[in-house]
Amino acid sequence: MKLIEITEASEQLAEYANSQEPIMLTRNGQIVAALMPFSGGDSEIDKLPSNLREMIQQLSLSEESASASSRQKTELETTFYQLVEQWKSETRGISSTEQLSVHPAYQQIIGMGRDVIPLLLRELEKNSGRWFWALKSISREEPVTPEQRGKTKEMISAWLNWGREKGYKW
Amino acid sequence: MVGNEAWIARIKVWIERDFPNLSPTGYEITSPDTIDYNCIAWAAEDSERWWWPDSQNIDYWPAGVPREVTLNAFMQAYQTIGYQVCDRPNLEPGFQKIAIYADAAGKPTHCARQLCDGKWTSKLGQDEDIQHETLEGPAGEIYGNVACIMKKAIDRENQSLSWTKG
Repeated sequence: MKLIEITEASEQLAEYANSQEPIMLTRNGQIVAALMPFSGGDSEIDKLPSNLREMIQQLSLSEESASASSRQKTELETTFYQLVEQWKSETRGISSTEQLSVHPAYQQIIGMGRDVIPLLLRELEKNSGRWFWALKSISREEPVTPEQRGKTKEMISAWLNWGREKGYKW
Repeated sequence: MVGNEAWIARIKVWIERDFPNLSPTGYEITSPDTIDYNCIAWAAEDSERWWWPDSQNIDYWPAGVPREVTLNAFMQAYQTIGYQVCDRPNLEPGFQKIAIYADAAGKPTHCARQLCDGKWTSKLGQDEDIQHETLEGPAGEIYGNVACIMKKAIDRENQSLSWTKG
């Protein structure tokens, strides 16, 4: 059995926990909590006090939720890239900013909302298409100055800087 | 001509799908795709900006020219860099010419620029640059037909490479 003063680093605590030994937590030399190895089996859960059983149930629900969120993210990306390919294929040769932006696939991407901003920034960084209208519509912001209008490289740079400042990762 | 044969073959399928008159009249791909500039800018010898009078003020449009998709506004845009309306697309010594295409409703869709050998150069939207033998090549469902020819005197002292190259 290990004794850990709870002022010690949590990394150390995790290290001891991995050893599957029982752990006693102390503060100023007084035992304040005990940690026991736990396999997560149903028979072990049944022996726990009801408040701990509820906590375990909540944890497992949040794991399901994280898994669902990950599935949604994958579906979002799949749909996004399908729409990107459709847009690029169906707008070849088009120079009109308006025609490019009112294309149904482009409009569907705008309709996907803020969740696609990191994907749009990623596409801009790859020079895959003119996503300025979409970014402006979704974010309701305009980091491009009047002097930069039309200067694609500078516009890309302005939007990528905007994304970084807003904390987006892509 | 640019790129490897497989790449060119793939691009040609797309180009000839969208512009079926190009193959019978003759054309070649002269640069890879880029979103840096469009055909309107390319005709104006600007390869750093995307020219379009969009309603969201996203892209470049010459100052003082109405920000509207009309033939008149496009003619005015090219007038800011020295072009004047003319009658014929023939090669004329001392002049460079451009051709503005418009759809059935008269809305501009595309612009091509004449080269010193009488051929034309076009940027295809967000995609490649091409050199085409005739103005009929890009005409069709997407670009409509030529609605206006403009010309400007060539400054022989500072003749740009774009006059000789597509």
